[in-house]
Amino acid sequence: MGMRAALGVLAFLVAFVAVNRMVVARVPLPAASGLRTKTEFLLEHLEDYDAIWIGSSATLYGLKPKVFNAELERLGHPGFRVYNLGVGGMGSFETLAVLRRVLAAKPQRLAWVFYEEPAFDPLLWYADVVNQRYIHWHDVQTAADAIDALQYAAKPPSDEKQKKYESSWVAGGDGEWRRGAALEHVELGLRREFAVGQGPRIFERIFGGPDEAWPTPAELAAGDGWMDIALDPAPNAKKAHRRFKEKPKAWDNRVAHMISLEAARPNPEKGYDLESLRGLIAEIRAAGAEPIMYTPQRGLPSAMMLSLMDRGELPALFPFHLSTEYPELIPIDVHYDEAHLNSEGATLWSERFAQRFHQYLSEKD
Amino acid sequence: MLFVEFRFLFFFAAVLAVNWSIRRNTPRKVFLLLASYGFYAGWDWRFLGLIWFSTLIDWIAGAGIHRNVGQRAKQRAWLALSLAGNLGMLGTFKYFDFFSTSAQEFLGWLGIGASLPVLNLVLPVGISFYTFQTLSYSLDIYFGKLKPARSLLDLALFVGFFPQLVAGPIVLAKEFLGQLEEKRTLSHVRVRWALVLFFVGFIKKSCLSDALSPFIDAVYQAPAAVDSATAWVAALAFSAQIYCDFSGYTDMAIACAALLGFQLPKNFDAPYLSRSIAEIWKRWHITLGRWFFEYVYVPMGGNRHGLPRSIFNLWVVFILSAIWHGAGMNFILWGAIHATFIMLERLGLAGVLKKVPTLGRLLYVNVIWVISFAIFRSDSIATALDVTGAMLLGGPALVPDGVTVPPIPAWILPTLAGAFLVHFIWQKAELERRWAALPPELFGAVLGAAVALAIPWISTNPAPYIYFAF
Repeated sequence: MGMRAALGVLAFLVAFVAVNRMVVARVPLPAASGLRTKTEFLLEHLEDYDAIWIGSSATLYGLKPKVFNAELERLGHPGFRVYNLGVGGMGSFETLAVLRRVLAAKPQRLAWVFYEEPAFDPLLWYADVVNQRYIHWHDVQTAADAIDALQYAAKPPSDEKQKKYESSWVAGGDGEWRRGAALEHVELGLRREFAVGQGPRIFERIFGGPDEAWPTPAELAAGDGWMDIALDPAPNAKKAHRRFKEKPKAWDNRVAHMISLEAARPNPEKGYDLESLRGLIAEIRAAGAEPIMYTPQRGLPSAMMLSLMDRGELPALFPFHLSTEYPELIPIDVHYDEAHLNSEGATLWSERFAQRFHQYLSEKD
Repeated sequence: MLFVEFRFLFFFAAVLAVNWSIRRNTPRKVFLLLASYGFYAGWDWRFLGLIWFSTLIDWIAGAGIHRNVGQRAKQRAWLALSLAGNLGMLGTFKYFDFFSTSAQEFLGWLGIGASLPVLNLVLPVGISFYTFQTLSYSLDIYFGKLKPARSLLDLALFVGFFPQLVAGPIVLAKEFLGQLEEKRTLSHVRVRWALVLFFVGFIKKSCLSDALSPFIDAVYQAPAAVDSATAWVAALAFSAQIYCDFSGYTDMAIACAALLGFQLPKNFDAPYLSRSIAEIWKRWHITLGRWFFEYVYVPMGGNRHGLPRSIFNLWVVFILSAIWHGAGMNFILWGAIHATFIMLERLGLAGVLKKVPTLGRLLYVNVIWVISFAIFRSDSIATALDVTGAMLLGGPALVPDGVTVPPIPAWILPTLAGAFLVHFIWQKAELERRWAALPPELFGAVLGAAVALAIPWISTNPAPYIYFAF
């Protein structure tokens, strides 16, 4: 190859990378379950908050910042403000990626990160793997973390996925499905890093397109990120609520099962991604904030969190799922469905959260 | 394997590397033939037998025709073998069921109950293209325009050459076989021009055609429910889609062939800038039009026997061309519309059009084109009537229960604008030639930036090439 041709190739690569980076930086977050609206709202008002709650829909519907702030003020901490960054369906690594986005904005006021039960589950559960929710969190670092965490995953989400992973050319069909699953993460990572198919979304971001119908920025401002589950327009939310109320016995059984496993302490060395947990804690601290983990009350035992706390792996854990400590969060009356509290339950949990945090601060001092 | 698939890039990179590392011509041709069969086997290896059958038939027929120069009857017999072999194969796989069910319906209409057999065969990809190519070989030998190929290898490579194997352009034996006689040299390859052409073809297919596809599909799934505006937007979108899809494919085919050292004929020449229906057929799917002109229209007498005969010949060509596209009454209606307008132009409309301003003529051509392609896109005459009815007479007063009318996406306008730009500005101004003429460093930088900007517009719902179905 001649020198000029080589320079041509070099010019191609330089221009490609430069333009690609500019394009990728303009890809908006997916407009799904409030992810974009909530995250962008926080990034715009980052210096208004001392703390964030970050987690799934249990957090989104279950924790009211205004109640928490008021209770904390009553307990002697005036002016404290927390933002609810809970998003429906937000999995472990998606939560991590969103948190990284927030921390990358270098918040000055943020002192606390309340982090919902970090499980570091790297499995892609949706049948439609190539979806915007999965693509957006597959930045190089988070995708690499998820691939690394595959070693702790017990089995794929379904038999069909296992077959698919095992038939992948990298897996070799020898029962080794993790390499096939890793390839899926690589594909999602490539799609993200090359912004494949993101043109329409970038266009809408620049020239204006349909906003998320719910929640609106005004609603977010009014509730500092908390949303009333009863107002969720998603048909599935109403359906789950009806099913839950029709079968109260199912909730009783779920709680009984949870209580029976409260004493369990699984070994985190087997089946838990300790490395990611330690990395998460270090990242939050590097940004000048302190992490506090918490478990919501959704009828699940969360035994691994207790085990991690016992072993000193967590800086702090607020275990709201424990029946011995928070029995008032168990009754069906404060739940909207099996995974979420209703507005009344959210008020109760937010007060308890403030009280627990006050206790933590008092013990710390 | 589609040209826009990631795996094709690996396949083609490997083919390029091996092709240019082989020094001798014959081994290189053997390699290209194997690569071509490998490419086709990626679709369905079982149908490779049909390509071999078509190749062998014409190898034998071509030799037979050439051996019997001066004995027209024997030559005709050998030509009949080629025609029967190729058209028989095409007829069996593509048309048997259509004619069988049509005949059954006709007999039923006459009151004769009959149950005719239906084969339900899968249509082998590219069969309409490669059978026409191989036929050109025997026909040209018969007409004395070509000598038989030097070897079966050359003929097999002409038939199976992967860039043009599955969707054209329809290459004639006389323009390709000569290129196999001498070793192609890398120094003659216009690499930058070919890269730009491939890139433009990729954009047309993957960023424009595929982006339009879901909306058009949704409209044609609910034809009885669409209003006039939706029907018009869908028809316009389909006009843009089919151009981007097909010309995009042929751009990439021509570029791939060029990078391997071969020249394929041009297939599109800004057709939507035509000022008459007769002209658009000289600028749209040029190689198919050329094939019918050389092997059907001219042998039937062309324009040589007066206007009525030439109009009859024209109708034959258009009905055959319509049937070539597909076995369906919608295609025949589409062909008939075009034949009617060309006939009218020959009978005097062309003279009237010459007095109309350019914009008016462009409008005349494109309105007829868009409406006729709304029929072409329909899967039945009933669908065609629903869609064209909505376009010309307005949509239904009431949307049937349970039918959702697809909303016109906000996306359609920028995408149609993109298709417009590609068609009018790009092809007319020959920007790929100007771009390729830039110094290598600037060329590389512009291409790098363009590729990075194009990737976000790749559709995440890739659709098969429309012409693969023909």
